[in-house]
Amino acid sequence: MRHFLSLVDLLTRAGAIMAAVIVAAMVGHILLEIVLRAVFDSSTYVLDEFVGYGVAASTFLGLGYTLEQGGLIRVNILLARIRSRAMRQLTEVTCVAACFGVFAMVWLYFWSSISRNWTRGAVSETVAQVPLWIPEGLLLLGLSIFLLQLVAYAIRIVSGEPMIGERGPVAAAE
Amino acid sequence: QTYVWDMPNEYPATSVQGEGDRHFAELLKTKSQGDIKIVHHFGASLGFRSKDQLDAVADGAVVIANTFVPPLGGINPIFVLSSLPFLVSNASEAYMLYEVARPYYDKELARYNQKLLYASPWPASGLWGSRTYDKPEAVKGLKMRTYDPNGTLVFKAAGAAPVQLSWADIVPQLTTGGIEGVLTSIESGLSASFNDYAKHFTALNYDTTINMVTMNLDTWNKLPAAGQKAVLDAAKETELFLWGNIDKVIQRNYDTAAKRGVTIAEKVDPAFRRYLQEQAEPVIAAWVKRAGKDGEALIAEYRQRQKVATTVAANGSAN
Amino acid sequence: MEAFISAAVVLALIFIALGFGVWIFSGLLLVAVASLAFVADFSVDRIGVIAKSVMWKSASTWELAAIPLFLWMGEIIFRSDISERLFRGLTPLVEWLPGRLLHTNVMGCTLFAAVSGSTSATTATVGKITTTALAERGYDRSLSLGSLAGAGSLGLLIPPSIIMIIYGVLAEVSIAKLFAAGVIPGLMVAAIFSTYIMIRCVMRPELAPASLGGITLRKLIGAFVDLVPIGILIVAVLGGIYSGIVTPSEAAAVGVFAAIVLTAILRKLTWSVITDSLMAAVRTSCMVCSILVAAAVLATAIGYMHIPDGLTKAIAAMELSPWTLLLLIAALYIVLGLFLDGISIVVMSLPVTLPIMVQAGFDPVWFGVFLVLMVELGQVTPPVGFNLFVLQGITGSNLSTVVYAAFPFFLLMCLAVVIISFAPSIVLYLPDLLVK
Ligand code: NA
Ligand code: NA
Repeated sequence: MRHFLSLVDLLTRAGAIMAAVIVAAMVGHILLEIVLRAVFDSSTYVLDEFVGYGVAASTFLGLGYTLEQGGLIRVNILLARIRSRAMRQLTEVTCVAACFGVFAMVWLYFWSSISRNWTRGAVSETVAQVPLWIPEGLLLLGLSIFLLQLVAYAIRIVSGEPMIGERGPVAAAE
Repeated sequence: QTYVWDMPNEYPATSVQGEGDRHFAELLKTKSQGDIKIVHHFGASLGFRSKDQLDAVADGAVVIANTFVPPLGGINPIFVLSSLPFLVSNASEAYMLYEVARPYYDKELARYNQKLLYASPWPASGLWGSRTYDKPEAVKGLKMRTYDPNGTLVFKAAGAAPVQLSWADIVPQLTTGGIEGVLTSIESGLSASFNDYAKHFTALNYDTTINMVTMNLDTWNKLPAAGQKAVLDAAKETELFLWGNIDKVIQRNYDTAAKRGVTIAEKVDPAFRRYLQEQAEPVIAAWVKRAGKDGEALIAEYRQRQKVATTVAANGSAN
Repeated sequence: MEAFISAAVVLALIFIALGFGVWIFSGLLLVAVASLAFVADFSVDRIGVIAKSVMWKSASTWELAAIPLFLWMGEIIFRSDISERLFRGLTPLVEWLPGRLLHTNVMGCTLFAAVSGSTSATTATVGKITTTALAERGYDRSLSLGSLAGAGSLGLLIPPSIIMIIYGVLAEVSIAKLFAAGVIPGLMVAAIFSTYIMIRCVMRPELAPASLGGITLRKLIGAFVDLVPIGILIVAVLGGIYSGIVTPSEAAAVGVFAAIVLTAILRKLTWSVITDSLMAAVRTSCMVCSILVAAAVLATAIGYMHIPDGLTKAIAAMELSPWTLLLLIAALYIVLGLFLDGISIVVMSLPVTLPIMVQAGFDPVWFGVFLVLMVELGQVTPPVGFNLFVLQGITGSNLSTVVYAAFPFFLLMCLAVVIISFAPSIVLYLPDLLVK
């Protein structure tokens, strides 16, 4: 179990770093495009396509990390009112399960879309002709990490570790 | 049994595509005695763009959709056909190309679990800008926005400086002079009010692209014979109406543009057009290679028919 | 009638899901899936492909990039000397103004509005720079949060604005006219907000900390020196856009670049400033973008249930006098704003509302500005209010605190709607003057 948890933490960290690198790369690509257009009358011709992929990938690759850091917001009315810790744990596990359920469903349909694009050999209709399974695959990777992080979090709650709201001030509000 | 079909369309209700959808829905309602009702979702309001709609119809997310097909070219090259640069020079040639291609369209779309009901043309694209672009020198170094890789290649070869811009950036870039020209139809230029900044439209007739209205094959197969007949009849009638009407739509657009102070160069010097056509030949050849045997056969048949039609027209005017 | 029931069911589901404490993005997705399954009676397969398609489409949108990039810029500014200097520099300049530094939110958002058309990016970036600084100096938290929530959506009204471009295309109205039409109402809303802050602070001086004393020439010169870095940043970004070198969508990247260069010049640039700011930007951006993506699926579900279509057609069928019509349309948009994002509101309702408004004699340019104001109202109303979510995310306050703080500003925006309804020339003066 401990191996699983540390593996998930490792994957979460890797996803976060990928998300950060992608955001930085988006800045680089946009600056390159500006220089090409202004100085060389040229273009990369794929700016909105690639930056679009970048936003999708970074959003989902960073999702597990954001969850773990307490950066995902929620309405605390109910959780703040429940006195019994056992009930709070139960509520929290229910939230995790609901979230897992709906994203597992989304995961399945992303998977089938990606495998279809793979078999079709579908590419984007741009100069770059990017195989469509690649950008969707990055999103799927992010979703996978997020789902694993949800499982890990559920295990931690059940084994009595502090819940996200109980770990002191949330990271995003530093 | 009654049916309610959601029909997404990326374009506004007032566009030529929106008008076509409503025309079709009215006809279908009458012909099916009110059994089949279409609910329109214009302006991508259902959350699907054209490039999402091939799968949306295939998977039954929607029963029917009006789809701009060129962006689907990466899935199947046949969808790029109508947007090949300078292949057709007017709406009647575009219809000829469509007639030649229709069996291929039917065959390919069936692979994506859908049935082609009808195709609906856009007014031909030309060049919006601050001048009339009527000779090779006029496009030299022209900073312009193209909408697909083929356009980029052709205008680059013609000496222009095509850039890629997202749609929302066009107006701000025209305002600040970041770009001077935009390759698009008279209709879409008017709807985004390019006429506030670009006072000229050169009718290059770069392409006459089509939207396809397709429906899910499973729904089609389950439809009773009377329903199928109603759908086919409404589709056929809509198609004839739209292709017969397109020149009127273009004229109406020209009138609106003129009222907004736009100078329209309707006749382009044949020598200039030939020059642009020469730049387009490699792009068309590359497409034929990508599209394989079908593509080759298709282009050959179209060119044959085009030649016959041109000869007939020339003889007619000679007599 | 069916549309009313569906709308009520969806709203109830949102309150239940979010109230239970599910993370907001997953809550919205759950509601979308549940309402497609139980209200629209779709199969699981159909819901799955819809959710996948809409999520991919809305996540892979180029315009969305403004959010992570501007957030990164904000985080760099927050971690460098620039924000500290900004507040030090502004302090003596606003000494005479009731509410003093509290106006930085409104001013900052107005300025930012000329760069960005994204409300989330505006609220998050300005909020990141101002909220902590204002709280440290002892300014009232509620007034600070509320003014940010309200002014954060000014970017929709002040050009460049994507939602106005969309309206222009759908309504076949000149975009140049719309851009011109948004300027005065935008500044008017900002002025109303600032006036409200002044009145509150005159009535209750404890909302702002005690004054630091008189203004001297030395202090003023020091102030201007302190404002140089932020001034350079603003000139770089705005100058880039208005010279045509940079498109509005690209401005955020220029902002990041300029912020890094300035931080380096101020000798505050370290590796950890870059990585910490980047990771913080990723966290907030993931939170905001995942909510936007889930909200897009919810909007699609609402479209499938024909809710906007049904509600607007119900109003269209009533044949009302212009003023009653306007009142009902405003009420309709407030209802749609409870659970829909701005662009969805516009594209879903316009095919029905625009013709009836034009027929009733309203100017389409005026109606565009009216509609954008209604969309701005929707940003600060629960349960789905993006400015509220962003503020909860960056400040760590409870959602109810933020809602409460934003409420007066919601009312002030309603006041702005009333003003432009009675004096349409506020909207139409500039476009008539500038665009022939
Ligand atoms: Na703006
Ligand atoms: Na709202």
